[in-house]
Amino acid sequence: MNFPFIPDEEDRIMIEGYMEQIAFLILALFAVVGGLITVTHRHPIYCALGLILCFLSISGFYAMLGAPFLAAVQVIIYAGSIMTLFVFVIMLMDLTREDLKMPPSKFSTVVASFLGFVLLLEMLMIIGGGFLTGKMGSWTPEKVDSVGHTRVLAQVLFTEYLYPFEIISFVLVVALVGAILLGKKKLHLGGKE
Amino acid sequence: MSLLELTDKLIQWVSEMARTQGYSPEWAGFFTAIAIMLAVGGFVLGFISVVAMLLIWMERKVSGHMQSRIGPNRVGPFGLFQSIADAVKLLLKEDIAPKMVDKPVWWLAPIIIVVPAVLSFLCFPFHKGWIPLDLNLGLLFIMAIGSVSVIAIFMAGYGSNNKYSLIGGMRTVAQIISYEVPAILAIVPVVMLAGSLSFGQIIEAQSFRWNLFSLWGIVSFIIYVISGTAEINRTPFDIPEAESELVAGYHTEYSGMKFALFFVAEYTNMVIVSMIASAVFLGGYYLPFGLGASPVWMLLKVFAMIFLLMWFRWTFPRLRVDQMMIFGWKVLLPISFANIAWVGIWMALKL
Repeated sequence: MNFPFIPDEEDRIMIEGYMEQIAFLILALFAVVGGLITVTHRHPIYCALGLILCFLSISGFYAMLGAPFLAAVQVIIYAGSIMTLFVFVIMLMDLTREDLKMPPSKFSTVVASFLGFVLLLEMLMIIGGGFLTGKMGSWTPEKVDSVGHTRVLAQVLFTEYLYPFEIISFVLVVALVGAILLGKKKLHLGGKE
Repeated sequence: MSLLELTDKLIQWVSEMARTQGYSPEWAGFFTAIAIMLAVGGFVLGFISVVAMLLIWMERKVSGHMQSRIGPNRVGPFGLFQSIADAVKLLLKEDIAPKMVDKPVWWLAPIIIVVPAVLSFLCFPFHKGWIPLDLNLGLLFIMAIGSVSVIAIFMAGYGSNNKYSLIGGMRTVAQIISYEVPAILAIVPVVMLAGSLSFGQIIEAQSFRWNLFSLWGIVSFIIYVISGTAEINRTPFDIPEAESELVAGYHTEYSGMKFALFFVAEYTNMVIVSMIASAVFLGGYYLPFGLGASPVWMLLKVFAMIFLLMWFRWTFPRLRVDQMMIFGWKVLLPISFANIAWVGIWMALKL
């Protein structure tokens, strides 16, 4: 960049790059802070808020990586599910301020630290083995852009991955039936009392 | 002056400043990037505040005339400056924080509720090519962003630590999650026929014939307007803030500027719902039958839709909670599914 100057294409690209970096740093900060709040805070409402902060930042990453459909779906699904979590906390847990000051039980501390240690080891092993580079698939970003992102996703989902898709929807229906069964006050099987 | 020239002027000005302060070109670029981001954010925030003030004046005028009153008429011509006076009052008001509120949640809620309202303007189709960002899936983006506002409302209800606010927040969760489903399903036939989720292409598909001019279009439009009204919590669906039952629902404990932010968000969401309805069903910036296209028509349609929403508010009584839920799940949802099936069969027969 020379002074005094009329901004040309190169300068615009440089400034755009800075903007992208700033957006990335803000999103990364939010994601990490949200994750930390989720695992460290004692109050379940704060944990849920930290979780949604983390998820929304991750959907920002998806958008920056050229997967806008995934980003939008992430926001729609997690906004709804986090609200359900809130309602659970309020309706089912019935917390008072004293409940939150109680120290956690010894058993859960031991199990949680063991599992956390295992997870940490796994992550260290993966990072120690060098960062993995995924296998290059047949759908390059250029090819996806030429057809249209949502169209590609729909085509692949309903042809190549039709059976997994149907099986997942079946599992979801089973979960729905279970929820309705649990929600019923009295069961009338066979039509008679 | 075009937008590009304007940003170029900004870039020159900021980098000139950075140079006289003795910073390197890299830092100058960095400062310019921050300056552009702040400028865009400030512009959009100022824009939505002005729009919200105008709409608050409009609502008071409309409600006045519907109730055989005059409405605000003292401050400025036709009472136009009434909203500015109100805004100044809200800004200068003491900011009262109740003692028992859950501080961080309570503080963040009014800030978060403005975020989706601001972001939704990213896809506002003013005219052909005048869309700030014609995303490939603009409709889905706006729907996704809109669903974030429920979190803010619930945070306000929970953080206030007050029975009425909490009930208001719980009602909001039930209402918005229920009515989001028919709102999205009402738009699905349009997307099926246009073959795209971007606003530009959906409006181009209506350049001759609006989507409203067909049976499925009318059904979809009515379902969308009803569920859109419910999503932005306006009468007859203002159950989360029902004055006669819940004082003011989720914003009972807010005052001053925080309350004003809830107000700004409500009116901006109204603009967004009207924008989606006019872009998706009323042909956006096109007149019907190829009679012409202009951003004026877009704005006129948006204001007509806003007037319709205000008309609802001042003529319909509020629904009960159970009626609202039954209406959403047992009436709107089956009709919108039948509508999608009908359009699907029609498309299959035609092809």
